[in-house]
Amino acid sequence: MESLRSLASRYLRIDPRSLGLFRILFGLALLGDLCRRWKYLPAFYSNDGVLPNHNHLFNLRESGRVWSALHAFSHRDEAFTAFAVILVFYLFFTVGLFTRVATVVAAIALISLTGRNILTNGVGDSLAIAVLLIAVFLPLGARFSVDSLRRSFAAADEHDPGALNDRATPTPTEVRGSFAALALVLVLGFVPLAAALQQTGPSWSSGEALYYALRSDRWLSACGEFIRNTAPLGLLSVWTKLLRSAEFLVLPLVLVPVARPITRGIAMVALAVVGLTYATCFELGAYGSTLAAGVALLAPEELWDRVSTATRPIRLVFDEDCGMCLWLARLVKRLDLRRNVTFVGNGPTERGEEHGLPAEVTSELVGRTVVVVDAGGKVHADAGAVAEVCRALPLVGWVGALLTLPGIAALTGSLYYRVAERRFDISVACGLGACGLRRDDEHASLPPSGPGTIGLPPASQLLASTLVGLETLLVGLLLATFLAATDLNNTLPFRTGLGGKDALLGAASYARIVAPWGVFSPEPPRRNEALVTQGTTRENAEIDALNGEPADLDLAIPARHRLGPLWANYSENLRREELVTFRQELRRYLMRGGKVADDRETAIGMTKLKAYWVSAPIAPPSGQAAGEIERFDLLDSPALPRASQVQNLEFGRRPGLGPFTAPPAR
Amino acid sequence: MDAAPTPDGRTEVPPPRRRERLRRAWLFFRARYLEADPRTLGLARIVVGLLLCANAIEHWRVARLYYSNDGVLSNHYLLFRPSTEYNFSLFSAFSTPSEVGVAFACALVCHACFALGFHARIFAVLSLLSTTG
Repeated sequence: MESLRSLASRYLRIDPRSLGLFRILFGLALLGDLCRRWKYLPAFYSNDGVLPNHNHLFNLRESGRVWSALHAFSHRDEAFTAFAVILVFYLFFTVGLFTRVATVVAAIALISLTGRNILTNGVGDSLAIAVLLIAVFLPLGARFSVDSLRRSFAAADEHDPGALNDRATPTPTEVRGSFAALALVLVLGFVPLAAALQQTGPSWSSGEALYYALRSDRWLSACGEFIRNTAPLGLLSVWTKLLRSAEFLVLPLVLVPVARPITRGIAMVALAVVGLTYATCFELGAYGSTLAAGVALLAPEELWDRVSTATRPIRLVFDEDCGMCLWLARLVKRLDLRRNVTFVGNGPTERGEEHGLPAEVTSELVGRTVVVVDAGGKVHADAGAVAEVCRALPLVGWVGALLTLPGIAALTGSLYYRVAERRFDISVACGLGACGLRRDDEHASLPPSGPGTIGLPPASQLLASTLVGLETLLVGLLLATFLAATDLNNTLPFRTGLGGKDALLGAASYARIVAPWGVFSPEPPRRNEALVTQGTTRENAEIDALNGEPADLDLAIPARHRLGPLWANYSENLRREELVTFRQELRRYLMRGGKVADDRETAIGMTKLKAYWVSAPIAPPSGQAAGEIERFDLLDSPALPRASQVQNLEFGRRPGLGPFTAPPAR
Repeated sequence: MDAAPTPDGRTEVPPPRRRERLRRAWLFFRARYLEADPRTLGLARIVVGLLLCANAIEHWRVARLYYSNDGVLSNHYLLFRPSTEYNFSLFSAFSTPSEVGVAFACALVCHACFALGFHARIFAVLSLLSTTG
């Protein structure tokens, strides 16, 4: 029974430090994704863009099973306001302030950003939403968060250096096992595996896949273009094989129950290879960055324990009568994960008898300033001491190095003196007390969080058990939704049978978990394709309305066709015959001046316009490009070659989006 | 304020200065018009919250007719040809009767939490958003 419990604990529990680091990394990925979307806000999120909200709702009516709060926002300024609100909640999520609420709102926000225009949906959106929805059930704010700091301050009330040095003080970091932990790791391991299983084309086995993928300009990032231009074919071949092997390895390694430090370490490297490759070389939305953030979740406790050992021990002498100094010392204690800092009061007894500080640490010195004595016995005072403390703390070591630079050191020293002289006044002003006096209500803010149920009355235990059961049920439903969508939109060698459950597909559609996991499958396209427009302005200038330059109908200038994942997904899906109804609004958008007008914030008006889907053959590694450049009129001819990755975007009860009926006349 | 004794033994209060008079007037004004008894505010919150709940339930009963695409005015038409400028409603994002039902349920929860005084400030804002919507 004990071994079974231990085995379950291995799979159902993630170290709170891993969860905290994951939250920060994933928050940064979400912020990056939002910034990418903000750049194209007029085009994709306002009625001046390629798809007004009323047109989208009209096309999706009745059976679309797509919802987005952003459908309520019509004008550019309204959408801007909505984006600003989303930004605030993404920031809350990243720093861990009101973490649970921020996670829920972030999930709703991402679903709304994705559902506003279903043609822009990509693999990154589906993965990020799935991860975020499962993460709602995990204590992401248990460590490395503002919430955990507040809880820790409320739980441990240190008055003196002795209490500060007591590292056995219980901190609220115990996290109970949860099915959500297993589900999250399974999703992060399964998605690369599903990609690898579908990457069955010859270029993946021959090692040429990355070579071709890096020549599809519309998916390429600036970094990817640099790699394409500089990396030799041999390196790309090795990288291709390494990437596919890594995709295969993550899930099996994560599930191995023995030798976890080793297997988890290899799984972390494999997931990092996959995530960073897609994040740096390609514009696939949040796909690569979400996988890269997931590396933190695989970090075993042993790894955290190893990095928690002291590497730069220092002794910090501070004014224990100053409320602000004591508060800062308490903060340093909580940030000092490696336990580098030993706190010493500025009284003569402590300094002399207990810690044996050097003679140059005089009463006059410690009464005037903070002092740090490093491992070699060297004494640092004033701003130099602050820099040493920063160096001893994780993640802010660079700040310490920065503070010692000439010029900055002098500036910081001057600032330090101004603050130090007024430290008692500042303490009183901030309600922190001075000369040992404390505010009565200082510790009455937050109760310590204790997820365990030991010691609770029976009714509370029953409630906690019920909530755990409910949570497990909801996570199970989420996982089933994920698998149902996976069944429908992937060609895997196995099926779960959930793809036929209409209710699950409806849930997947509303949550925008479209699950097109087959990235560059069965193999990257052998032709470089892009949307190119050719228009004439009222001033008789011929331009491409997407970049303001003359139309590049031969795809000779790659940088012009790198418009980011939104445009890449949108143009890819626009080719689909059943989505022909969405092209009318694109014509209107382009006739107003397209992205050029968005950038200039004024309509420029076009007198003539053509939009082409241009397809140019990619030259193989050894040889010339075979075939001609082909151009398909996107706006006037519905018969176009099918997109390489055709996905069901709405999981509607009827196939596709149905026949188009013209919206009411303007 | 110091009081100086007069020759006949009585205490004479000097006339208050203009600044002191203004301060007293301000305190008088604040006490009468800018302050409210917290018990009164609490009662008002409960009453307003209950009214909002009743209002939401009343609207919910006719939600299919007036708020869903099965009714008299679809959201896409309203957004396509809004009756007035500066017209914003979160309910525009909900199309089917089921979606509208979820929206009304959320609104009702917000109103109820406001009435109960649970995170009253947050739920006051959310109630305002849903009511104007």
